[in-house]
Amino acid sequence: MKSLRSVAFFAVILAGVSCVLAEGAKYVDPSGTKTIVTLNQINPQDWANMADQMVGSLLESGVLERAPEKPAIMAISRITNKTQMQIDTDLLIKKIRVALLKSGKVVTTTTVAIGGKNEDPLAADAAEQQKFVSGDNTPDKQPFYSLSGKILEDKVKNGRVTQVTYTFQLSLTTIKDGLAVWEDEKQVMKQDKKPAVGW
Amino acid sequence: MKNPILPLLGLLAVTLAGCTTPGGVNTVQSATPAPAFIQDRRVVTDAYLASDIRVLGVHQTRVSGDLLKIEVVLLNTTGFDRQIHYKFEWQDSAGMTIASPTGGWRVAELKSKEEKAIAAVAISPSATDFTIKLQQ
Repeated sequence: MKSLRSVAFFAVILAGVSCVLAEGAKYVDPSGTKTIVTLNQINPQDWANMADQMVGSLLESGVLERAPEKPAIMAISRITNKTQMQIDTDLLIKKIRVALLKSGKVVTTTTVAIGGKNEDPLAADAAEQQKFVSGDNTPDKQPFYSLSGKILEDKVKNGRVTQVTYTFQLSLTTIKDGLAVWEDEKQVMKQDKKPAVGW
Repeated sequence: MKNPILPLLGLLAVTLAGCTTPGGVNTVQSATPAPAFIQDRRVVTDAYLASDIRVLGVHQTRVSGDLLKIEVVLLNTTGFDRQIHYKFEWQDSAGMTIASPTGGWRVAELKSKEEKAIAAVAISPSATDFTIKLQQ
């Protein structure tokens, strides 16, 4: 009887401890400090950080003030992913676009893209149709700037320490003359140290 | 009888010494005084952080015509390298916080005794005021 009581007691204690230790799913602020940091991935906070730095650099450069028409029209060109991961570069570019739109300096066209692959084919078709019906021959507004870039990855190891660098390169080109009027490169660098003992 | 605590204390001292970075950061700069800092109001809830990472001042300017740029000059007063989190928030003339798709907490690393500037540009021309948050 006594041993049964002790088993029950320990079961209750164990259940209590499990409740305390159990960590279920929970919401975290995506812009907070409790987000997960991983070595072999570009984390949400990295995208936001890079977009923030790039937007700051572009706005600070003052080149957007030189556009003849304001807000300047910008098209998104090729953003090459040179990392080993499959990533959607819109995780970076969309943030930059939203921030630039909010600044009032730039609007992005969704009907001009590489190889005619419009982001918004419906808008492109509808505009063409409207022009055909109305007999309007005025040329479409063309982008003044083009944004292109590259994301690179570099991994080095020294003893138990692994370091991964993600390099973000962006260029803003004036379409009429093909000159890059703004360029920048920012890096996210992460290190991880394997424990001396263990796997 | 030897005190058994002494070797342990010695080991602890050696371990702690390994964690520290000797020396601070030497700097050379123009003798011309830098532009004055703007007046700021501070709310300190972590006295240790405020003492270890001292905010020397805040510079303010406008870039790209109408966008507010803020630069905060920090000083690591400790003998250790420190990593802190910081965040810039922007407010409009009505005091409302302006949401940003690129906002969030960032990390800054300051060497022992190093002075470092962290800066940000408001993405909206309606930003007239700012708040900088610092956390361990």
